[in-house]
Amino acid sequence: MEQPKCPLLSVRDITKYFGGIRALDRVNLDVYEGEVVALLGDNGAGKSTLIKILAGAYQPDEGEIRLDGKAMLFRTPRDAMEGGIHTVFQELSLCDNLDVAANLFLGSELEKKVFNLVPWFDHFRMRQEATTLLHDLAVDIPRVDRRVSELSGGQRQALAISKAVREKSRLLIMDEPTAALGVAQTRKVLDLVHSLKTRNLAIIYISHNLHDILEVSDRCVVLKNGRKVAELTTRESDKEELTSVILTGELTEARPNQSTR
Amino acid sequence: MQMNPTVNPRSAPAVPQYKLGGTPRSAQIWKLFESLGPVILLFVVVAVIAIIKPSFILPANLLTVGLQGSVNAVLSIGMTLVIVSGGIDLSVGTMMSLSMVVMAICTNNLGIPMYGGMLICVLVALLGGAINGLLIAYANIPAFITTLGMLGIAQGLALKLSGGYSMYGFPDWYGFIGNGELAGVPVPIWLVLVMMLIAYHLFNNRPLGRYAYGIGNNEESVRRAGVDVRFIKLKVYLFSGCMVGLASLILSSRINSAHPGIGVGYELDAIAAAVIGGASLAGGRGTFFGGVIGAAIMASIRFALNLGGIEPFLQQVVVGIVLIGAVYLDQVRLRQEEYWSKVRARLE
Repeated sequence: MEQPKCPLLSVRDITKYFGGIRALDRVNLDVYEGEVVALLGDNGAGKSTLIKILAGAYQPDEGEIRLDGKAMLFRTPRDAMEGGIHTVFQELSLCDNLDVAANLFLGSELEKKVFNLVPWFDHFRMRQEATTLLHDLAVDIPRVDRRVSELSGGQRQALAISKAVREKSRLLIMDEPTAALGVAQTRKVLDLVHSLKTRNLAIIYISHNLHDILEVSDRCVVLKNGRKVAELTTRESDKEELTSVILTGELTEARPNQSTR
Repeated sequence: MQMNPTVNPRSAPAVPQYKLGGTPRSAQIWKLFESLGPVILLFVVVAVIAIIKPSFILPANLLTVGLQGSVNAVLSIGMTLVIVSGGIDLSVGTMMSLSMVVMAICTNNLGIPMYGGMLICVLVALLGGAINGLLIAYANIPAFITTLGMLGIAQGLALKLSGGYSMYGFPDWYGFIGNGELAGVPVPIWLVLVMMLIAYHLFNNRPLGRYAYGIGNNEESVRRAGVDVRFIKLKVYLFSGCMVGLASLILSSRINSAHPGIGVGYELDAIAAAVIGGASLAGGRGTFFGGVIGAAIMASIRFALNLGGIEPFLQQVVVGIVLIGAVYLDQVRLRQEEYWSKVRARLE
């Protein structure tokens, strides 16, 4: 893949301690625009600590985060969002009792003035734009005036992702987006990830499902015990290799061509 | 997921209908009940009372019911917004007493003109709402505790300031607010209609209303959307305080005096009205229109009890039963919806 010179996100030597435990040990990670980077590792490998640092929920003890080459300091999740980094948590970004359009525009509702005086929600325009956005992303939600409580799990996940897209994010962090979904719904979420790639968004994709990862990602970064143990080009890798790297933390000798990349 | 669509948990009727894009019939009924339920209930209550006492449906009697329900209707609009945001305001009744007592002291003892007194009345109620809101939103004290404390504080202050006596001496024109008529309809009913217009705007077309619904359902989502959730909560209780101010103007005008004990029990009526009107104490659900209809139902029941010669003490018992019954209905409704959403999830 042709990669631009400057990565969108560049993580350098990030280290994080929890008491005496080193949760992350000098982790480096680059993410380019239009690229899906899969983050792998067994439980406790440091995946969630890393994404929480990227999302501004934790502060690293050492190392730096660069966005467009500029060093950033994310003190709060708000800072990270303003930098264009969004973490998609379905259950933390949707209100079940509001309709689809209201959820997409939550916090930045469009308004009009009635008689040039009284501010009023512009429901029509919000629904129009919501329909357009969902159509552009090929999200299968037929009506934007439906309440979110009426949507299926896959539709909710797609809506949460669409919401992050609408909020002008540049890097999406997806933590197990297909964990609770069926086969058909997983398919739709993966398709959505593909279409986000063509929109030049950068995506960090976390999953335990190697099948999904092999299909959707460009690169795989494997963490073990807080250290980055491998970085692989997905196209050149396979399920067995990934499993073995996750479990042993080492690239197998059987395929030496991988380690020289 | 790939479940067979014919798999039918329990004996749900009409499930295949869902494939046609509809919702199962029973779920449709519950949905209809949510939007139109209070209105249907109002008609049923009125019809039952009319069968027992045909004189009830005389226009004059119905207007009296509206008049008597107006104070509660105004309170229930504010209460609905509070309940929708996931809170509760137990202080509305005694705050009403306190506001009118302070107004009476200002006008009667301090010689402040009536207009000034009315302004002070609303300001006192707003202050109460502000204190509630600040404590709940910024000090993280549960709404139940905060407003329960405020209930006691307001009651105590009202009794202390008034010495426990009713205070008379408002100018004659003041009675117009509570007892006057415009175009044959009592002024309080007009005021309720005006408040409903404002509430329509606020609930459906302003950030305050929308975020209140959002907060009641999933506070974290609204916070993550960049909304100042605390400020919204403060404004919710301020709105409730504003309604308390207006309600105490209507009430003090109707009795043409300020009475330190008159507000006790209004909080129960307002909560009952909001819940009968479809508000869920779990938050995130309810409409101001339902709240007003709920107030009308409560007023009808009270009027009927008066008509039937039931003494006021027993009326309290009935109000308590109605309140518990309404909350029970709310629980049934929530369970129904949970059930149907599970059925739906299985079908997809």
